[in-house]
Amino acid sequence: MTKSETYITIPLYNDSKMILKVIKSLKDKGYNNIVIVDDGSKDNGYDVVKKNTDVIVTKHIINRGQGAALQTAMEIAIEKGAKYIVHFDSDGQHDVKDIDHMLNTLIEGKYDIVLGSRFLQENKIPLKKRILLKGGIVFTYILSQIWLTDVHNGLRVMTVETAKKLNLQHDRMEHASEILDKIKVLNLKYTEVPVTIHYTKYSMSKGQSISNSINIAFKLISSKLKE
Amino acid sequence: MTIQYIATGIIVIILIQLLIQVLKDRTQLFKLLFWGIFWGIALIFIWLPTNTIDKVGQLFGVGRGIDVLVYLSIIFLFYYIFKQSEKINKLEKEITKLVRRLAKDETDTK
Repeated sequence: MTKSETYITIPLYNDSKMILKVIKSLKDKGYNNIVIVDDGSKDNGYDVVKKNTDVIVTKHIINRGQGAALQTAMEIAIEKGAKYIVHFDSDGQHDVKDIDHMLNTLIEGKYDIVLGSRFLQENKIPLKKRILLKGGIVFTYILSQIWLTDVHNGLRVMTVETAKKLNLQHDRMEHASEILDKIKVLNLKYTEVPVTIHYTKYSMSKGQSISNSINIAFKLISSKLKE
Repeated sequence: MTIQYIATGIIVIILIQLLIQVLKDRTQLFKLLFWGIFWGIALIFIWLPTNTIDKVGQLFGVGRGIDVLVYLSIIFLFYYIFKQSEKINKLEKEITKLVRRLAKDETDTK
């Protein structure tokens, strides 16, 4: 019952090689409501999905960033009558089996949002990534006074009410911090659960660089100052 | 002295370009006024005798008048960059709104 009320939202950017695999893994586990927003990919992601699957798919005609694509996907899911919304990555990093226990935690614990954390269980995280993410934790605490074990994990499960409240304003990667900030500001009930992250050569090549992280931090500070 | 002539020449070219722009689009009149005053002041500074500019500098507590001009220009430029980035941010948001709207209108549900 829950699965039919759950919508998996996936921003897609230059991941046409992986996306079909990701969709199949979701469908195999019974998650049939999938919303994919191709964010102006340079490869033919939108066509690949449209031709080979029956999921809900649309595209941003120009690249607007992961935050913008997620917001579009969430709005579509809300319109389709979603009760629960999942944020899922298109590069095959996330594991479908984690959605089950995240959903259970959300419902049983009456949480507004459940966040995935790669640090709560054994994950082989490359050192550079580990340092960057730990820095992010401290930064998030300073900015939003919310202490988490993992701050830029794209796997999240939330109620539709939460999705409506989030209303992401940051188009690019800053949306991950924006979500955490809104959890604090809107006083949402949240928890973290351990999740598996599959680090492959492919997914690592698409990860955040240090210079990009500095850029994110700069944008967040300036938007905080404007509040 | 040569530098004064070069600077004046550049300013005159800028002003002529501005004038042509405004003649094409009269709604830009305010732009002409703003930049006209700006470059006008610059011209005055360029042609004022050195000791007069230095007196202005001393008024501000800075040794040379030309330094006052440089400091003021830097302040102005920073303010201008700030305003421009605000404008760009706003435009980015508008573009996203538009792109998102198009995407939602064309959502393909089988």
